[in-house]
Amino acid sequence: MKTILLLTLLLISVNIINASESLKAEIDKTAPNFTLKDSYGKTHNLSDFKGKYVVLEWINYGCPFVKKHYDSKNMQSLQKEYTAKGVIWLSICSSAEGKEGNYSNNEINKRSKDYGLVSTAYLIDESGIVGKMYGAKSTPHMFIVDPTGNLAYAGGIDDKTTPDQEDIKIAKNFIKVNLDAGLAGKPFPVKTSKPYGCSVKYK
Amino acid sequence: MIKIILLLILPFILFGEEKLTNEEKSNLVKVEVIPQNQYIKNNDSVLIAFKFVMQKHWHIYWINSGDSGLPTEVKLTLKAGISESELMYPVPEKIPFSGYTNFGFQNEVVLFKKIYIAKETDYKFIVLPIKISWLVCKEICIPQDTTISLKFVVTNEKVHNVNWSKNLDSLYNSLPQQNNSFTVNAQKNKDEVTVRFKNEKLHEIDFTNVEFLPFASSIYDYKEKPKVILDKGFYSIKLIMDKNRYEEPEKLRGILIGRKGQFGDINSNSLEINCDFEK
Repeated sequence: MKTILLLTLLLISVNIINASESLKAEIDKTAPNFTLKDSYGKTHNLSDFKGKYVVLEWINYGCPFVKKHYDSKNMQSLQKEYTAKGVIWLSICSSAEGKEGNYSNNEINKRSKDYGLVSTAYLIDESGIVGKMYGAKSTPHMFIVDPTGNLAYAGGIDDKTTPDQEDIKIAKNFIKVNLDAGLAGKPFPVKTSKPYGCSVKYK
Repeated sequence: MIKIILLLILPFILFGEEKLTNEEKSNLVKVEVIPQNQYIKNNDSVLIAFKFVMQKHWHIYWINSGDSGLPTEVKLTLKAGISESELMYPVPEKIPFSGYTNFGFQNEVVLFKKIYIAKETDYKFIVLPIKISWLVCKEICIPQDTTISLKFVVTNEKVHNVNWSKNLDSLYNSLPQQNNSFTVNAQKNKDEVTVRFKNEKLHEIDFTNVEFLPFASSIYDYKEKPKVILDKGFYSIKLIMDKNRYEEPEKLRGILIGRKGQFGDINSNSLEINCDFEK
């Protein structure tokens, strides 16, 4: 009896381990689903957007590398261009309570308005569960989910890993090259790149 | 009343560091550039030390910053006939954050670089513009840089710089050593890399305590310290690669870290590894 009980417990624990492993985002595999509330309190599921390209942008308004792309309007112009083409753009903040980038919804909405953020939604991931599931390490850290629901890109926004705004002009923007290719029915030219920036301010 | 006071104070506690004054920011890291010699001969080299002193609890980064951050860099503008070594970093500290790992330096660190002058140049003196850039982080990160110029007189004399201390010699000697008496090979297999090493001369030394840190960032998973096992006369370390890595490494470069003297040189606790993957 004891042996059966132990074996059952072992099987359950193996299944739990497998389940948590399968929830790790991996290139060319199904992007793990998540449900998060936006800064207006509306709930969003990744699975709601199946059939569309979805950009996941890890954000922290206090991080100088995020500021590089927002002060220069680089991020907003990408958001504007591709959401107009039917792409879903989710900005996700995994900053824990008390950490840099964790603001009240009112403060987020004020900052987003001041910056002219035009992403589909600004999602709050205060627990960091979604960030850890995707392996988001830095801000900005970018991911693209393709219309079949697979993770098609993970990495940096571009190839100039500096905080210098001037570098944006000469950088190869991986979100742009991939979405342009994808929307034209071609495979993504870059599947992974080196993410760079501040650490995500997890718990 | 207490609640009101707390509510008034809380934003400063939570986000106070964002409000550092320019003076406070400029005091976070003090950088000093010290050449070993002020004079340089044709067909010779000169060592330059870059000393960083950080405010308490703030850190800057190693050549591999780890899961976030940016490496500390030194860029020289070189004239014809002048060349440079790679930037030499000492062994970094592990700086963990929420299940991830950064590699960097707290309190104080000295990096080194050598410049070389060709055999026949007409220079009477060399002005060397140097741009130093780093990211300094605690709860928040601030990118910083500075540009300085060093002037070297080209002469046959070799005059020691009085500001070059014995401590700088000692720090230079404790950098990861390059010891050719080690046999090192590395194999790549899907998402794993196995590093194997041995040293016939140091065969009595146990290397199961050592750790390998790669120079490349965002390629390897640093969550757990890999075990070192002794297998058929070789010490073997299995490194796990990040499944979302941005490139396939063509070489294995990094450092083995152990105890002082363990790799042969009594001043150093680490060995630089630079090897191609076996086909």
